[in-house]
Amino acid sequence: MSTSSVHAWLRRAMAVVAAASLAGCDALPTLWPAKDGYPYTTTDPISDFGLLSQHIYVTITVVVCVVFVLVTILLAVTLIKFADRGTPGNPEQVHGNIAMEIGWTIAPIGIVLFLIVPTIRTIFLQQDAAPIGAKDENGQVLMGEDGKPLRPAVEIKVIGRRWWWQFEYVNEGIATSNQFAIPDDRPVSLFLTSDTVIHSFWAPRIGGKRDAIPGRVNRIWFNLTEDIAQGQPDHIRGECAEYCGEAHSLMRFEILGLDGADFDKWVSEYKGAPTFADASIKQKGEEAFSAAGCTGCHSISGFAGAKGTQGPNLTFLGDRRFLAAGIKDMYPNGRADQATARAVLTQWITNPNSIKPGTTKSANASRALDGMNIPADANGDGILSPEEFAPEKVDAIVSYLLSQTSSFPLQ
Amino acid sequence: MSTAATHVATHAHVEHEEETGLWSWITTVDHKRIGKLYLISSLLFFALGGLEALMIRMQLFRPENNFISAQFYNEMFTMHATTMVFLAIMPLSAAFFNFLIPLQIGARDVAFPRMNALSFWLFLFGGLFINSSFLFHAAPDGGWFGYANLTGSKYSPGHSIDFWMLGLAILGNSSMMAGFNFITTILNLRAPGMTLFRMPIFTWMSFVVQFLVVMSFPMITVGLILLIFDRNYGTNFYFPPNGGDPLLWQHLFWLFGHPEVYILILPAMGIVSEVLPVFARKPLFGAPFVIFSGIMIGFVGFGVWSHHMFTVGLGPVADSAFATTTMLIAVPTAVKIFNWIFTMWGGKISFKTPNLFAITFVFLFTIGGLSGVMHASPPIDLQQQDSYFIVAHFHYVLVGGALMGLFSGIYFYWPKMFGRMLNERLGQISWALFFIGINVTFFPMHFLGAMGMIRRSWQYPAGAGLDMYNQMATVGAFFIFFAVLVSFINFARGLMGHGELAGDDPWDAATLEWSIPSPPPHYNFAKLPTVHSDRPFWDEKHEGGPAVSQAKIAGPGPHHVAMPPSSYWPILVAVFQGLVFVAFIPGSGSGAFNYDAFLKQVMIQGPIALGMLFCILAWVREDDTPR
Repeated sequence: MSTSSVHAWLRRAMAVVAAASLAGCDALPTLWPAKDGYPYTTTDPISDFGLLSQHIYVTITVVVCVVFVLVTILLAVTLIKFADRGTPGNPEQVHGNIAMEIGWTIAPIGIVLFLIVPTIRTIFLQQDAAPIGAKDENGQVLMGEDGKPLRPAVEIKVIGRRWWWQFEYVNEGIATSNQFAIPDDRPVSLFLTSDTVIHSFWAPRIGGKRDAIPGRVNRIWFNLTEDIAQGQPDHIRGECAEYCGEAHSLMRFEILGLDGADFDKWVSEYKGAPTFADASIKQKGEEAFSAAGCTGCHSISGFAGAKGTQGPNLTFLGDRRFLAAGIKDMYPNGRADQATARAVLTQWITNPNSIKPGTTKSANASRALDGMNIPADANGDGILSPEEFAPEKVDAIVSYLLSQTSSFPLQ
Repeated sequence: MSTAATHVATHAHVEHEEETGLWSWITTVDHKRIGKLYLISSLLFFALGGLEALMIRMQLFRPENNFISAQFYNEMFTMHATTMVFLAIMPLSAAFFNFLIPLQIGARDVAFPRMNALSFWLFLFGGLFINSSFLFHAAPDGGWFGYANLTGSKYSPGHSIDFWMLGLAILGNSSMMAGFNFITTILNLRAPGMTLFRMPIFTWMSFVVQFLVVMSFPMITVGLILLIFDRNYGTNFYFPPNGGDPLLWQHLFWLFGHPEVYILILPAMGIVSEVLPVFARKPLFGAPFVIFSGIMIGFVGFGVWSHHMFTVGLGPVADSAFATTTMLIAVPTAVKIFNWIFTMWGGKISFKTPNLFAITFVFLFTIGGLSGVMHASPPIDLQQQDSYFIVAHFHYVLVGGALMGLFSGIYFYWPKMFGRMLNERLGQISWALFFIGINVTFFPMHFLGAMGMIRRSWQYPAGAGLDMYNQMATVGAFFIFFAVLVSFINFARGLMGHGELAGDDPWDAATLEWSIPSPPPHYNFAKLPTVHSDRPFWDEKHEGGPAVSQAKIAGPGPHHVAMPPSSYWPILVAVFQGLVFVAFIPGSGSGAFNYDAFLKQVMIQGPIALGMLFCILAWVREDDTPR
C-alpha cells in the first residue's frame, strides 16, 4: 500500500467517524429536555455557546460509551471463559506480549488525538473575541449607516454577592438583581465578577459556567439560537455553581429570553421608573420603606431616598416570580393568586432566615462596613416582630413592591 | 535439613518473645504493629466519614428538605471529604505500606522505625484534632478544598477553618515523614538479589506514591501557611480588596490536590496487581508496562492540576494544554486496565472475596476513568464542573476504585496480618452489597449532573426532575452502609480469634511475604532470602527455583536477630506537636496582627514547643541500636 493510499484511507476513516458522530448528534434524542420539566438541563442548549459544548459532549459520550461496552464485554468474556473449573495443574505462565501491549498503548493515544483536536478547536471558538454586534449569515457584523453595529451586543456586568446576583447593563444604565432579560437577535456579552467570595455563573441551558472571582473579570458571550416569539418570553434558569458559604445552594437567578422588539421595549421601560395606578401605594410604601431603614441597602428607581447598594436593587420587584435569589416561588398558582405572593414577601421581609439561612448574618456583615445594623430589627435576632415594626407598615411595603410591574412580568 | 532450619527459626523466635500489653503497642516501632494501628484507626475514621455521607444522603432524599440545617450540611460534606481523603483512604494505604513493603522486599523493618511510629501518632492526633472541632461547635465548613477567600477571617470568622488548616498541616507532616521513610526503605533495605524490577508491583506503586507525597504535600503546606498568616497576622495573600488573589490558593491546592488523587488510587492499583495474578494463577501480564504506566501516571499527574480550574478563566492556551495532559493520563490508565484483564485471560480464575473486590475495582474504575475523559475536555467540563456529574465521577474512582482495591487488600492480607482467615461467606455478602450500593448510589448522579444539579447543595429545587434519582442514590447509600457493616462484623470476628488458621501461604501466592509464618515473627525473616526472580516464592514452589522460604534456605539460621528497641519518644513528640497546634486555636482567626494576642500565643506555645524540643533531643540521644 502506497503512502498516498494510506492517507486516503485515513481521510476516509476520519470522514466516516466524523459523519457518524455528527449523525449521532442529531439522531440522539435530547435527554431531559427543558420543556419536560428539567429547567436546569445541560442537554438542551439554546445558544451557540452551549451548542459548541453540546457537539463535543455528544461525540465524546459516544466514544466513551463504545469503549466502555467493548471493555466490559472483554472483561465478562474473560471472567466466564477462564473461571476455575477445577482442572488440575497451573495454566500457562504467560508473562506478557510486547506487540499487544504496544497496541493498547497506541490505541488510546489515537482516541485521545481524535478527541483533543475538536476539543481545542471548541475551546478557541468559545473564548474567541466577543462579537460587537449581530452578524449576518456570512458571519459579518451588520453595520448601520452611522458605521456602528446595527444591533450592538448587549453588555451586562454580573456581580456575585452573598447570596444573590446583581446585573448591570453597561450601555443602558439599568441595574437589576436576580432576574434579567436578554434578546434573541443580538449577542449577549457577560462580564463576570464578584465583590465577596468566588461564585460561578451557570445557566445550563445557555451553556457552560464561568467563575465570578473577586478582583477579576471573566467573560462569556453567546447568541440565543432559539427563535423566541413576540409576547412569549422564554424562562431560563441559572444557579451559582461554586461553593460560597452557608446559603450557596440558594443562590439562583432567572433570565427572561425575549424577542428583539420585546427586549427594546423592556429596556425602555426599565430605564424609567415604575408607574403606580394608585399614588397612595407609592407614598405609603416609600414612607414605610424609609422608616424601616430599607433605603440604607436597597435602590428603587423613582424613589430618590432609596440609593443603597449593599442589597439587591428592588425596582420592578413585581416582575419577578421568585424571591430570595430564585428560591421562593411567589406565584405557584399563577399571577392571579396575589394573596400567596403577599404572604411570601411578608415572610421574606419579617423572617428572612426562615427562607434562606444565614441571610441576616450576611446582610449585617455587609452593613458593618458602613457601621450600620438593620434599623427596624432592634434586638438583632433577624426577625422583624410586630413590636419592632407595625404589620400594617410591612403591608404597605409589600403593596409598594408588588405593584411595580413592567409589561414583562415573569410568568 | 529443613527440620534443622525450622528448629533454628523457632529457637530465634523463642529468644525474641514479642512483648504484649498496651504499653508495648504505644511504644512499638515494629512496622507490622504500626500497620495494624493504621488499619484499625483508619477503619474507625472511615466509619465516621460514612456516617457523615449518610447524613448528606438523607438530607437529599427529598427536594427542599429540612432534615438538617444548611450550616450542618456544609460541615457534613466538608468533614466527609476531609475524613475520607486524609483519615480513611490515605492511612488505609499507609497500613499496607507499613505492613507489606518490608515483607515484600525481604527487610526486617523500615529504615527509620521510630520516625515511622511518629508518623502514625501524628496522623492519629491530627485526625482527632480536626474531629474535636465538633465538640466546640466549630466543625470545618469551607469544603475539603477550602477555597480562598471564603476561608479568610472575613467570611469564616470563628475557629472552624483554624481546625481544618492546622489539622491538615499536622497530617501533611505525618505523610511526608512516612514518604521519606518508605523511599529510603525501598532504596536501601531490599533483600539480596531484589533488584528494582524484581520488586512486587504493590511496592512499586507505593514507591511512586511516596514521591508524589513528598513532592505534593509541600505545595499545600505552603498554601496553608499563607492562609495561617492571612487569618492571623493581617497579610493579604488571598484577599482581593488589598491586592491578594484567591486563585493563588487554587493553584497551590490543586498542585497538591491532583497528585493527591493518584496518591489515593495508586496503592489500590498496586494491591489489585498483586491479587489478580494470584487468583488467576498466572504472573501479572506485562509487569514492566504496569510499572512504567504507574510511573507515567505519577509524572503526568503533576502537569494536570488546572483541569480543576477550567471555569476560572485561564484562557484558551492554558485550557488546551491542560486538556491535552489530562487526556493523556487516560493512556497509562488504559494500559493498566488491559494488562489486568489479560492477566486473567488464559488463567484459572477463582472468585474468592479478595478477587471479587479486585475485579470490581477494574470494572468500576473503568467507568470512573471514562467519565473523567469527558470532563478532560473543557467545553464539556464547563457543563459538568461542580455538578453531580463530577460527584459521580470521583466516587467511581475513589469508592469503586480506591476503596474496592483497599478492601481487596484487607481480605487478601488479613490472614498474613492476623494469622486467621476471614469468613468467606460474610465477605461475599459484603462484596455484593457494595457492588449494588455503589452503582445504585453513584450511577444516577451522572444523570443528576446532566440535569444541572450542583454539588455541595443543601437543598435542590422541587419540580426540576431531580427527585427520583436522588431517592435512588439515598437508597443505594444504605446498601453501602450495610456492606461496610457486614465487613466490619467480619473484621471484628477475625480480631476476636474466629476463623480457621491461615498457615503461611493460604492463597498459593508468589511473593516473599507469603514465605514466612502468619502472622510473621517480629523480625520477619530469620534468614534473609536471596531473590532470583520477580516471583521468588512461586518459582520455589512450582518451577523448582532457588529456595527463598525459611524452611528451605540452606544453612542454619542466626541464634539472635537484633531488632530496634521500642521507644516512647515518638508518641511524646507527637503529643507535644499536637499541643502546639491546639494552643494555636484560641487566638487564631482574627485576621489582623495583634501584638498582645501574639505575645499571649507565644507565652502559651513557647513552653510546649520547648517540651517538644526536649523530646526530640532525648530521641536523638536515645540508644536505638538493634538488640
